[in-house]
Amino acid sequence: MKKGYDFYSKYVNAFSELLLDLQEREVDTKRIDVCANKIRFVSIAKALEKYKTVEALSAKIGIDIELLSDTNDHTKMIACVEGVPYLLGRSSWISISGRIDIYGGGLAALEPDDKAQLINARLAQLGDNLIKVVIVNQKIRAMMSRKYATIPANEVFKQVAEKARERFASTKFVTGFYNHEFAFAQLMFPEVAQKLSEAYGLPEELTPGITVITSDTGHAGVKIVGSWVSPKGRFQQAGTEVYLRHENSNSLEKVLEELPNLFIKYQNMALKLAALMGIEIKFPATVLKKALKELGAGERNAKMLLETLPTNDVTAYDICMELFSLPARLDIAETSRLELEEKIAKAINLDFTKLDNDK
Amino acid sequence: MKTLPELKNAPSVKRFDSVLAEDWQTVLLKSLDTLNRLEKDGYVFTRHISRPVAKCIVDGALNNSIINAAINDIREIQEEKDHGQFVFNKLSEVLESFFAVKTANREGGK
Repeated sequence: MKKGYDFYSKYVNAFSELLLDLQEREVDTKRIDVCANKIRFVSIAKALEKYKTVEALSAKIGIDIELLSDTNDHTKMIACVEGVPYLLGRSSWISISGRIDIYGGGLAALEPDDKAQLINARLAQLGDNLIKVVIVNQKIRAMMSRKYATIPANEVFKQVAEKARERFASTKFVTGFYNHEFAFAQLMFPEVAQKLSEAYGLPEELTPGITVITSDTGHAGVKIVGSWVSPKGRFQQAGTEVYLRHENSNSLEKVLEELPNLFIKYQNMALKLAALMGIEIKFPATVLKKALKELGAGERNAKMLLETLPTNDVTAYDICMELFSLPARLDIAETSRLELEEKIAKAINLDFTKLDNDK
Repeated sequence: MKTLPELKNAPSVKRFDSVLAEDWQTVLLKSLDTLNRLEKDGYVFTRHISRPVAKCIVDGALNNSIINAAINDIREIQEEKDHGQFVFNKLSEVLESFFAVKTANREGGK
């Protein structure tokens, strides 16, 4: 099957193969920023009225007939971006219906001509608002709003694997997959299995690992899930996960910053806390609030913690210890306390220097 | 005098324990927390002692001259009579940890 087909998908057996394939895919990717009113949708049926034959139409678009037929089997639409026609890939529908505010389940059920008209009307309303059109393997795979942050899938896998190797000594690739909607890879860390299972009080035969799922087209997000792999190869989720949408100022750097929070018990806590002792904080109240917000632990709790925070010469260590004390100081149910403890444990990995400003 | 493993397994040290830390790092950090609390609660200024020791933990290398200087500084504070018994006892706990770490390091058993 050609890579441009809507249902193209591939399982890979080697990590290098996944990286190479996604690298090639990235080379065959164009991301165009364009005003909404410079995009026009047209059904293939309508285009054929003008060009008469599939051959003539495919020659006009500069695409082979097979990909045109594939599109005619799915979205049945072409989108002209600043006058240049592109086939509309099936995966783009998620972003078109969701990200540029065209709602309603009935939309998908409309005939291609009606659908094209409706979308064109909405695009005209959006006027000169910028839209990022993502074209992969000769078809439009996504149309993102201006809030979309580009985080290519190949870079996600490459850099997450590098970070994982730094922390877990070595990685063993289990399996990988990609299609036009998302890509995933499963990695295991056999060298640290004993230490990690000991830290979590689990049987030694379990091997820790992660599953990385990312989509740089329709779903636009990165999710990294820690897991325990049984000798039979069964994956079971381990505690917290990292999830980041591709939007606003989010970046791959932010994803990498979150990685130490997976298998958080596998760390040198003494070293990290000692390092925090050397970080002077200029705006303790602000840092405390921002930290609580970032941890999802309730900004409202800042007032209580500030009461016991030293007034002078505050360090990141002082703030971290105040945060650690929070679950025990709140009158909450045991399950909520455990949830809060899990969130607060991540405080040790916060970049307090970055939070230390009065904004 | 307690040994490093004994100190490391004490309940009050458990909360600072982690799989990748060496015993001496965990025990020293607990001592630094004690010093930090004494300063935070307004009893005595300890930051000048904590900072260099914290750096040893971060560097992952025990520096005897830094530990010796910290021991001398703590003894000087203990000799000042106006801090009271509570502070004296807490500082004695810290000294015990520092000596245990020094001894274990000399014997090659970090």
